[in-house]
Amino acid sequence: KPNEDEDQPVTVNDDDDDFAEFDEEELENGPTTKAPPIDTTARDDVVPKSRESTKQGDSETAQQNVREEAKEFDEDDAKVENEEDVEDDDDEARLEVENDREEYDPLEFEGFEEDAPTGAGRGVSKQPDLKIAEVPIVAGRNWEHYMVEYLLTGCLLLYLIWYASGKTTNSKLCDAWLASNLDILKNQFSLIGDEGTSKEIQTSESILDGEGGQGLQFIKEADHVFSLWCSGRLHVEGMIVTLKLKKRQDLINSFWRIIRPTNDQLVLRVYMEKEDMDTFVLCLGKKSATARLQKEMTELGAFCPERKGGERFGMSPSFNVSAELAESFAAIFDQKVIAVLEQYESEVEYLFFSDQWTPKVDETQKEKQLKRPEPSKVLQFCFNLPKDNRSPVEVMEHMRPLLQLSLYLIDKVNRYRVSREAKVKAEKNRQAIQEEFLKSTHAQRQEAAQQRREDKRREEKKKIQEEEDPEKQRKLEEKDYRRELKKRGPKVKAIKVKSM
Amino acid sequence: MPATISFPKSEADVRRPNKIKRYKPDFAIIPYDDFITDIMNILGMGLSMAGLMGRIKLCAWLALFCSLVGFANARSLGRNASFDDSKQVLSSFMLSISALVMSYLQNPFPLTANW
Repeated sequence: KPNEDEDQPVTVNDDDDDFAEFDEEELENGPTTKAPPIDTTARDDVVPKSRESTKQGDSETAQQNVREEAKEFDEDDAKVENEEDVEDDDDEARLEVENDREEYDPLEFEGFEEDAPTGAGRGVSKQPDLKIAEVPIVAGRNWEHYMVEYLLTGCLLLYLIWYASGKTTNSKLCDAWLASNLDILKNQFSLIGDEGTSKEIQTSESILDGEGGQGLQFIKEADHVFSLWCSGRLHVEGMIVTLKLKKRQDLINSFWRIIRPTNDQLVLRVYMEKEDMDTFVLCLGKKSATARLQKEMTELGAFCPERKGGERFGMSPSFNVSAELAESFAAIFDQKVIAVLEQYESEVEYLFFSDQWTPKVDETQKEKQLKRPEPSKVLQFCFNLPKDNRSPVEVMEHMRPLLQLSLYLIDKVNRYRVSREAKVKAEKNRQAIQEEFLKSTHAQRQEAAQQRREDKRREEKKKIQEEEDPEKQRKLEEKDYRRELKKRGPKVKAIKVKSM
Repeated sequence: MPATISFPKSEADVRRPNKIKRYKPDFAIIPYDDFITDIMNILGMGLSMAGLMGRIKLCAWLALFCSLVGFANARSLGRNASFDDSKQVLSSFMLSISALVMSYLQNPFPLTANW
């Protein structure tokens, strides 16, 4: 730690340095009035402010000295000036000024022989010009000075507390959903809540036999995204229930949501069995949701470009319908289903059925895809949780019928068979998509084939070199040579000519 | 409460224990639009570099904030996830804390509140 004492006098000199010339003269004329040197080591507990005050006091005395000096100095000048003013045009005046100089008693200036004052100005002082280091004026390092640091740690703590409380409310919502919907899942699915890693499967029987739902937990994708996998049902490979909640755990996002409110979402994605769903694409939902889906889901954009208003299908205008086959909507959404949807109009975000669903691939892997990924048949239901702040359990009770509706729709979709002419149209669309994909990946597929051929040839060459016994090696080389010859040689067909 | 909607109770038991399919991470619906963690982690690392090299205390503090926000938004800290942010979050935390400690060791004077 830099020693304070050394530090202290430097600043003091630093203040007085500009008056160095006067100091020396002062020393000549008589005892200096400078304040006694400050001894900081004795008074450790001195509050830095007081030290500052002594410093200021010190600089004040310095200023007084300056003022006295300046006054004396002015008087001499004044005297000189009045004389000049009074007999300005008279030459004697200048002579008198020089006589004044001679009347000075030379003894008076013992120490000044070498730099006697010349003419009106003072002589240039010979001291070494001091190089002053630029030291920041520092308030000192006691605990009260870390104000900003306390403020910052306060913000950190606030953020952590907000994180903890947000996380707990989110997981409470999750548990509430489980509590109010587990019984529906239990009599629909034989496997619930599997993470894919545990050896034994938690079948719903095991849950029923008193193992209790506590063992059952949502998979935590993030602090605001929880998912649950259920499988083992008729017509269904599996269903994943995802709770995409608000980011309550993030303080910044909470502010952001004040400007742009979002809402908690319950997303059910059902993977249908291959043979249990016919070929059609259908989407029903709010205007904004269907528009976003149209961009996100390639097949939706390709198969059903236009979006019709809900009123054409006997639904409220806030809904939009985009269907590849007009008949599919009427067949699946009968009066009962539409009644439920109308009742839960504010909760329903979108319902999306597609037999050409492919998982979203971000750009990096897109080029590497040679073969088109095998599309799966997916029904996706997205519901918003009501905004009014009821208790989590009440909110989830309110959402219960929507889960029942989704499961009911699974069976409806399975019973729906596309009519013949609609089937033709659907096949044509799928064919178009397949060709378009092949065209776009044509270049990559050729490159891959080229790569495979080269690898094979390099393999053969390596095998020939490694062959031990020379005789077999010779045979292999010969074979290879003949094949190359044939490839390079002109395409000549040997024809046996019968001699006449 | 809305009238309870009665759905035709399917008599047959629809459960098929033999057709159980195990969960695979790529079934999960992972929010793709969530780049906050990555941005915050990179920003945190940059700021802690500035705090460490240039001994700017404010940068070290901001780095700590960035890694905290990155931690809050981290995806799939869960058990078996296809892409895992926890390693990135941990490294950005370590970097920012070390930057803060270093900048205070080298220049122990408090941050002057000049605004």
